[in-house]
Parts: sequence; C-alpha cells; structure tokens
Amino acid sequence: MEFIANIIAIMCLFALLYQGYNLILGYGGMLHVGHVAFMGVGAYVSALLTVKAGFSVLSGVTLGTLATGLLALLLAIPTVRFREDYLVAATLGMGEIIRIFILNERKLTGGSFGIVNIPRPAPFGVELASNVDMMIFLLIITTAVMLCVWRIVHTPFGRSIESIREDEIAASALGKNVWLKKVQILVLGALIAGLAGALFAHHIQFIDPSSITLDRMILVLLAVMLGGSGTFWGPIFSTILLVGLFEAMRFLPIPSHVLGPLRWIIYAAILIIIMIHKPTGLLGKKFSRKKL
Amino acid sequence: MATAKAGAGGAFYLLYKLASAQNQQSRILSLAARSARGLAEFTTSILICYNPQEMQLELFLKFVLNGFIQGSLYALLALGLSLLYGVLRFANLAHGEYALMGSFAFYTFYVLLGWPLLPSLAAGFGILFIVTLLIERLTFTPVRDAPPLIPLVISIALGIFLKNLLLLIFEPRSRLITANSSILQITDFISITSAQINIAVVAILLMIALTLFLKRTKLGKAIRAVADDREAAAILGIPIKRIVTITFLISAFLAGTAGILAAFDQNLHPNAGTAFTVKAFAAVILGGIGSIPGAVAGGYILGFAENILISIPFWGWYIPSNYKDALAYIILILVLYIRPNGIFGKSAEEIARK
Amino acid sequence: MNSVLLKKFGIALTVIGALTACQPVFEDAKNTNAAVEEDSGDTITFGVLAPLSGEAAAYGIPYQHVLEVARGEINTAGGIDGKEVKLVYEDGACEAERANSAVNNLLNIHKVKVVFGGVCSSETLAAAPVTERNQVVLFSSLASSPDITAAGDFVFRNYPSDKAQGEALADNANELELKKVGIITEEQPYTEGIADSFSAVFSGETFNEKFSKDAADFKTQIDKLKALNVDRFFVNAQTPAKAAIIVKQLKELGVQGPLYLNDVAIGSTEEVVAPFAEYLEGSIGAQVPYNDKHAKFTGFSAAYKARTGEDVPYLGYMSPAYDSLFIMKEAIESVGHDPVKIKDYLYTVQGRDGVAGTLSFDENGDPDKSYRHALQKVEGGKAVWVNQ
Repeated sequence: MEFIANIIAIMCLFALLYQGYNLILGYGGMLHVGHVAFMGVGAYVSALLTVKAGFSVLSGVTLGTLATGLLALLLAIPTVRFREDYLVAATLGMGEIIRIFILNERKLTGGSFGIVNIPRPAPFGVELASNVDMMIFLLIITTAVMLCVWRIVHTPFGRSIESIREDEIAASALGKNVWLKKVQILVLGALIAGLAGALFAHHIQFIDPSSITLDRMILVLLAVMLGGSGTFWGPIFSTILLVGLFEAMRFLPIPSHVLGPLRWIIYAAILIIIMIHKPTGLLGKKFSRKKL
Repeated sequence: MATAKAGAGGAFYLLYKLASAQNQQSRILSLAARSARGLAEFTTSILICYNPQEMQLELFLKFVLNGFIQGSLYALLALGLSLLYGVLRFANLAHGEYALMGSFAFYTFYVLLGWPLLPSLAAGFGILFIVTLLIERLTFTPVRDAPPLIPLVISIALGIFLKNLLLLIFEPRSRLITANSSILQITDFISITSAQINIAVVAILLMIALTLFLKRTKLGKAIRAVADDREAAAILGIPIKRIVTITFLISAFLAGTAGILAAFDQNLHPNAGTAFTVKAFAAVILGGIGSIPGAVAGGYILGFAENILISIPFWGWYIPSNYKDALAYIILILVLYIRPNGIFGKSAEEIARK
Repeated sequence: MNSVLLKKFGIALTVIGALTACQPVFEDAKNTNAAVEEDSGDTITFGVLAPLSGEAAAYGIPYQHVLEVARGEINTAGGIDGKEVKLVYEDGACEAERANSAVNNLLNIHKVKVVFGGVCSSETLAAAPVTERNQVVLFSSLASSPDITAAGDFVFRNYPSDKAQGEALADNANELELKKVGIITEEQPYTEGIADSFSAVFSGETFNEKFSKDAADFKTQIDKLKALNVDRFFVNAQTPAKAAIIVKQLKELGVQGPLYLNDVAIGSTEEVVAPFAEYLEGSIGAQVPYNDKHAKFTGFSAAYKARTGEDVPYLGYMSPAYDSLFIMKEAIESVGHDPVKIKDYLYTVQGRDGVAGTLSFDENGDPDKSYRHALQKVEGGKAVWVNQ
C-alpha cells in the first residue's frame, strides 16, 4: 500500500505541474520552456524557509507559491510579446540562469548539495509521516486546485484566452487586452507550478538542482502535448499514462544503464510522433493543418 | 598608457564618423563601412575592459586569444543554425546534437576503430549526412506547412532523442580524442595548441568558403533566393524541396565540423549538445536572425565576452568561472530585450513582409 | 490512433529494440526488476542502491561487481546462518528523485531490512529520510558528504567523510609551506566537500575555481589560476574522465607539476595516471588506506578479475564495499536479521580488520578519527603509498 500511495502522491504532483503548463501552452499558446524552473523556485523557497528559517510548512508552501508567481510576473511582462522562437530562447535562458544560480550560490541554496531533511507537512500538528497520509493530503489539494482551474477555464476569462491563442490579431481587434490576459495566464500557470514544486520538496524531503534541468522540461512538454493541449482533462490523462509507463518500465528485464536513456528516447519519440500526427493530443480536437 | 588609449579611441572615433557618412554610396563601400564601424565598436569595448594596473598585458592577450578561438567555434555553429533558419524559418534546437553526432561518428572511426584521419572524417561525415537525411525525411517534411510551433517542439524533442541515443550507445562519460597535443609556446604565458590553431584556421576558411559559395555559385544563389522569398523562388522554378534538403546537409556539415574541432581541444560528452545549441542560438540572435555575417559576428562577440568578462577583475572582483555559461544566456536575454533584431538583423518591416 | 501512426511507432520501437540488443546485457541486472522477494526460509535479501545509469555508473557498476564477488564468497562458505544471500539492485542514477523512488521500491516491494548504498552522496541523502522513517539500516561504502554524518541513527558508512581527504592534502601543503593553492572543483557535493575541508585546514590562500557537471573546457579556470600565480594546482573532479581532461589542459597550458589529485584522479590508473605518467610524476593524492597486504586482498582481486576481466578499479572505494557485506554478515550472525539490533551492533564495532583497513564506528555511524586518508604519490605511471 505504501508503494502505491507513493505513486499516487507523485501523480498528484505531476498532474499539478502539467496542468499549470497546460494553462500556459495549451490555453495561452505560449511555448515557454522555463516551467520546471518555476517548480524549482517554489520548491527551493519553501525548503529554505522551513529548514533554515524555521517557518511552518504551511507558510513555506504558501510563500513558495507566491514567490514563484511574483517571479513569473516580473519575467512575464517583457516576454509575452515575443514570437515563438524568441520566447523559447528567452525562457530557455531564464530557466537555465535560475538553475545555474541555484547551483552556484551554495551559501544560499546549498548548491549541488541540495537541501536535506525538509520536513513533511504537519497540518493541525499531525505530521504526515507515511506515504498514505501524504497521498490523501495531496489528493485533497490537487482536487481543490483542479476545481479552481476548471472554473477558470470555463468562464469568459478562459474563453477569451482561447480566442487569443487562436488568433491574436482578431482578439485584440475585438478590444481584448491581449497582453494583460497573457500575463495573467502565465502567472496562474506559474503559481500552480510553484505549488507543485513546494509540495514536491516536502514530500521527497530533499531537493537539488538536478530536478530542474532541460530534460525535465521535455517531459512537461510531452505530457501536455500528449494528453491534449488546451483541454482540461488532457494533462490529467497524460500524468496517469506517463507515471504509469515509467513505473511499469521498471519491471522490464532491461539493465538500468540502458533503461535510463531509453526512457527519454521513448518520451521524445512519442512527442515527435504526436506532433506530426496529432498535435492537439490524444484527447484533443481534430486538427486541421490548413486552418492556420 | 592613458594617452595611448585616448589616441586609439580618437582614431577609431574618426573612422566611425567616416564610415557612417559613407553609408549611402556603393555597396562594397557600405559593407566595408559597416564592418569598420563594427570593428571599431568591438575593439573599443575590448580595450575598455583592459586595466593595466590590474593585469599584465600578456595575460590579457591570452584571454583575448582564448576568446578568438572560442569565438571561431561559436561562429561556425551559428553559421549552420542561421543558414537553416533563413531557409526554413525555424530554429533548429537540436543543432548542437548534430555537432555531437558528427564528432561521435568521427570518434568511433578514429579512436575506437583506429582508422587514419581522412577516412575517419569521411566516414564520420557520411554517417552524419545519412542520419540528417533520415531525420529530415521522417520528421520535418511532414510538418513543412504546419504552424511554427510544431517544428519547434519537434526539434526540441529531437534534441533530447539524439542526446539520449548517444548516451545509450556511448555511455555518459567524457572522452578524450587523444592525450597528446602539440603545443606552441609563444611567450611565457601564452601558448597555443595545434587543436586550437586548427579551430581558428578551419573555421575561418569555412566561413570564407561559405560566403563565396552563397554569393558566386548557382546553388548558393538559389539558397539565398529561397531564404529571401520562397514563393517567388518557387515561381522561378527553383526546386524548393531539394534546396531545403541541401541546406539541411550544409548546416549539419558545419555543425559536425565544429563538433569535431571542439572534440580535439576540449572533451567529448553526450551532454555537451545543449550548450552548443544555446550558444549558437545566442550568437545568431545577437548577430541578427537571417544574416550570415551577423551569425559570424555574434559568434565572435559571444566568444570574446565569455572569455574576457570572466577573466578580468572588475575593481578586484572576478565573475565566478562557473557563471560562464550563464553569461551566454544573460547576453541572449539582454539582446532580446534591447535589440531583438540583433546587430546586422533585418528591420521589423522586412521580417513582417514574409 | 490510426494505422499509420501505429506503424511508425512500431518501426521506432523496433529500431530502439535493435540498438538495445547491441548492449551487453548484464545478467544480474534482471534482479532489479524481479517480482516481490521476501526472506523465505533459506534466503536473506539485501537491497542495493547504486547508480547503474548515468555518469556515476562508472562507480555504480564496479560496486555491483564487487558486491557480487563478496556475495559469492559468503554463499560458497555457507551463507549467513546457513541461508543464501541475495541482493536486489535499484538504480539511483546519482539523483535525489530517482534514489527516493528506488529506495521506496526496495522497502515496499522487496521489503528489505538492510540497504547497501548509495554510491553518490545525493543518493544516500535522499534515501536516508525514507530508511530512517522505516527503521531500515542504510550502509554506504562510498558516499562521502559531511552531511551524511548527521543523516540518521540507522545510517552507517565505512567510508570516511570528505573532510578527511581535504585535511590530509592540506596537511601536506602546510608541510611543504605552500602559499597559494588553486583548486579546480566540480560542482558536486563530493568534490565541493573536499575543497571546503582543504581550505579550512590549509594555512595559505586557497583559490577555488568551479565548473559545472556539463563543462567541457577548463581553460578559463586554469588561466585565471595561472594569473593568480598559485604554487600548486589541485585537480578535483567527480569522474576520472573529467580529471583526465583537466590534466591534459593543464599540460597544454604549460602548468608545471607536481599537482594535487583527489582520490578519484589518483585512483584511476588507466584513465588518468598512466596516460599522463610523465607529466604527473611526483603528484600527490589521498586515498582511503586500503590494505593490499590483507589476507583476503589477493582472493578479492583475483575473483574480481575472473568475473570482469579487469583489475579492481578505485580500490579506495571498492575495498570498503567488499568489506561491507562481510560486516553485515557478522552483524546478523551475532544478533539476527533485525534492523534495530543490527544498528545497535554496528555502533559497537571497534578495530575490525578488513581489506579496507581497520574500522571502528563512531557515535554517528561514521568511521572514527583513526581511519584517515593516506597519501599516495605518482611514480612511474602508478600510484604508490607515500609511507610504506
């Protein structure tokens, strides 16, 4: 049971991360590749506050999430105007700068050593020591966040974001403040990522810069594209698929030094195939290439 | 020293004014003027970095030399990326991995199988070309007309795919091509290895060759035509598909050469591709997307910036060496904010026209 | 999904499968992914957390071989209390997340009570909270971060913390009255730990030039240190391959030896010491004082060579690894297969003689102060002990 509880807990965390990115890429249409860096910021801020400054886990997670949102806001303001390839370049740069900064500033962040002994959450004084406890906790939080996202997506705000993605020029002609809405969706996605990151740090109880490399970003891209960018259930579907796939691959009789790179090869191959044949994802709408 | 600096600064300033004044006249002159202006700005910025009280001239020159060698490498990488961008209108984010494929293929023949140099090069490039063709046929041709988001994501995924393929085949270890190197000692402090000389010489030769190719040969002009205006080129009967394939191959060739040259001087590791890609990208954006001389300029500026800024003290404080890569990213972001068209880039209207 | 999609998918998978088949398949790796294994009546199962993939597999795979050699010896001699010893391997890939997932597997699927590993400090630090929570013994023979000292009650290692290595070299530098030492350090817990402890003890000035895991070129770091006129360079990389490249570039940039080498560098005869034998003559490094005169040493080397066709690499790491299985055997034969009792027993181990030297655990589960790194020198393309 412990084992399965751990898997479900990890699924919740990734579902949050992927849904956050879905908001940015799927709904907002922004190919932003610094998403794992957002996760990292949330994780590190929360970890540092709880381990080094004695904050409670609740404050740590909250402040971590807010810090990520703030950072996204600052970074978003100039970047939302960029074209695709410029956006990729800029966000790639930003994500890497954040990672390198975390890696180099050992006195502040622990550098390559990472941060150890991050406490488990203890709501109402009860420490969530076992995996089953964490699973229940994370399921509750994830469901709550997903409900919020559902509501947001199905409001006029959500629809206007989608209209921006489809045709930016038309949307702004209709009087919608394109720029502002893009910033809003970016910050929203980043907040969710920051939350996921902070919770991740408190679940695994250890964090180091290797969690925010570009390889991880590809997984996020894959998850959103595979499930269906711009759909609500897409990321949730891919989380189950991908985490399940990963755990299942463990049981294949393949030596580990082959399995490691093989996993990424399979992920990348699936992403390429999806992009060629069904870019709207498995749960997405029918894609008409001629339209755009 | 101060007077010398003032004198040099003054001379360059005059040159600058002259160059700007000549702007409207013949093309050769304006190109020369632009180059002179660029050179003036560039040399001045390097000179400003040098503070004789904090460092000996010899040391400084060594850093300049390092910058030149590294810059040549980056310029070569940027060239391949820029060419492909011009023709296909998309950024190949797996460019670094092409460079690595070239160097690993070469490594297999030269080191693992022990073949002599030229056959190893031929075989290495052969494999690189075959793989490039396969990739182009399987992954890019189907999405030729898709919105730019799709090929971009595909190239990101391709980068990861190729990198892990290399990790699978070659294991995640750094490798040396050879433990021997011939060293040329110039002064007490400054030495240069044969590998480094190779980098500079080959890079510059290739740049010149490429420029001549693009300007003088029929194929080169066809490539430029497709890059400039694809529809017009198609109407004129230029076989677009073939040109695209050829451009892919040239880009891969340039990347592979850069990879092999770097492998002799530095080390060979499957994870090095990402850094190559990002630096090439930074150089291209710095120099201006769509501009060949821009890519070269961007490459050199990046090379010099990395090596000089990291190595000189700013009133006693050094930028820590482990921020060297971050520097490339910071330059990239600054350029995107301040001058997104880069140095030689086309103006906004020209890009919008496409 | 349409048939074209499936067809392409199939082709891709076939290609990948074919490539995979080109890799030498390691039979025992199948252990990793077998179904639930519990202590049946006649077997005892231990878990092993090691990097079987990634760059650190350079240590993880030999570690696996060494444990298998020890396991074979124990089983041939009748096992532990007559029961056959089995080992289950999980890949930590030298990454926190992977190690956490791997150790969860070991505890929840395979239900082991003792875990050997990790190899990287990051693996051990990520696994420790899990093993502590479940009261399972975690026994590492290679992880050297100082943070592990306080990682938990059930955490043990028979490898000294990085502090000892840095201190040993710093003592030597002080003896030679060097004024400035330039360290080229990789940004990893292991190497940074060594650099820290070196500068803490060295009475001169230390200049630490760092590089990241993916760095390919070190000329900037080397030139900066040259400009600072350091008396001696210290090569402090995580893997032998990187150390070799740094040495090569040092030579190319005209740096005069001798150098200081960390134990990774001086322990890699094939990749580092031999190719640069002339240049490295007289260079000094520190290694765990493994005892190559010990009674079991010859048998150990011979068995390893018979198994892999090569000499034991990184003796400084592999000797404690070899001993670790025997230490556990003694513990279980003494108090039974109960983690709490094993833990208590281990704290009482004093003066135990092994291939890795004489071991006594201190109150933190680390080897005590008597187990120090000893200096080695490069002579004629090999590393030899300085005081023998």
